Amino acid sequence: MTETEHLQILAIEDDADAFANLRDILALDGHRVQGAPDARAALARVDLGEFDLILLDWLLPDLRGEAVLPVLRERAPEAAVVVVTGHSDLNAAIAALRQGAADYLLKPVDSQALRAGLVRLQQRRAIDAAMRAAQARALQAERLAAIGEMVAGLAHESRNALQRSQACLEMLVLRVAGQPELEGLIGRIGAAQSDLHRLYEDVRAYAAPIHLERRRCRADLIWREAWNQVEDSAGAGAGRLRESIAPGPLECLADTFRLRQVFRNLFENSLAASRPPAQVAVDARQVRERGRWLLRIGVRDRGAGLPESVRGRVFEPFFTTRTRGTGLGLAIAKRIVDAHEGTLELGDEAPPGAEFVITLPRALP
Amino acid sequence: MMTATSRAPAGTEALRSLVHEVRNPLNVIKTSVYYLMNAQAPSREKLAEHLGRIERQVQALEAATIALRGGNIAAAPAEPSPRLSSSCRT
Repeated sequence: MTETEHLQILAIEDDADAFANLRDILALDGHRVQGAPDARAALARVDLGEFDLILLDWLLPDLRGEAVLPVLRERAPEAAVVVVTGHSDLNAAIAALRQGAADYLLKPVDSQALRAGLVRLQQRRAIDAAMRAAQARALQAERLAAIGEMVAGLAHESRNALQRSQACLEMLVLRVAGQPELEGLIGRIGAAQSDLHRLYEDVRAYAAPIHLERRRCRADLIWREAWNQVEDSAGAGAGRLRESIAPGPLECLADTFRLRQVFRNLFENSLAASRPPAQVAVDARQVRERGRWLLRIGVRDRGAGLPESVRGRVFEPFFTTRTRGTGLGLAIAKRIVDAHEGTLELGDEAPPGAEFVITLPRALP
Repeated sequence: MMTATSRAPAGTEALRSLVHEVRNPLNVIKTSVYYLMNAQAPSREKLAEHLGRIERQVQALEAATIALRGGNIAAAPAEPSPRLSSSCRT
């Protein structure tokens, strides 16, 4: 959750007017409030764990707050529970706070204070989410470092073996000259070796720590260089790049080598998903999100698109729907964009084809 | 002396009950007023809803005071008829 996301709130309140007012007031800030008129209705909900905040009337028709609160804490451990009551009972307030209530509000509720409290809750949630994400990234980096170390060692040991077998193959080609069937077999062995070599390189690239050398650069120049490189290796006429650029600067702070790699991986993915000649469209514009200016760059192909079963997994390492490739291209691209404090996500699933959307912080003028 | 000490908790309890009866309607009135003062261009329906709630809760308070005069706080009606909201809808 980020600071600007709205809260999902459950109000357990038996007074219909009090509930309706809470709902209207909290809707002023975009929060979504659902209601339960008593403890039984609240505890019967299977989605209790999905709420960010639970407003609990301490004196409900069927149960008192001290009986409900522990169940809420257990069933919705992530939710903050705020007691709202008409009883100014010090002992009840102490009991509620000891049982894990985040706050204890006395009716008549000070709406301004309630709204301010929710802003603080949103900020705390955003900080918690950022910390969890940072911990997850650190854990992932640790795992990747271990994989990288192992693969680097494996690749080093295998390189000599691959070179020896390559030398043998080259000698063998000379001996079977004029025997197309055998030459074909040797060619296939060579291709398999290349695949193996590429697999090592891809895994190493994916697992290696990303150290960025950022500088001010123009995103359009980078994607054009990437397109030229992809076109060179795929062959002229393999595809056509169409650009749609909204007015405004396209400058960002990026590691140009790494960003080029991102575009290259996306373009290669687009070519693989399309029948030649592929039509790849890049749509770039500036957007303002959460007070920051971002570059939004969409890369869309005109292939068959991504089925629902694939959409959730495209950025998983080693996931691929193709018979060739390691399934690391998009995972590597996402890691690089993440390292730039940007995002790489699937875009609009409307046809034609599939769209990948990069957002990057725009360089300040 | 015994009579005085046994009366005090009963009086406190009655007072607590009264406070509770007053706080709930006050809560609705206060939050409705807050909404009406802070909502950006609320719809006519929303205005009517909130005015209706305010009127209902004012009646609840009236009923509580009448009951208090008669020494029976629990006699306050739960949901008075919403006249103000009806007039607002016209």
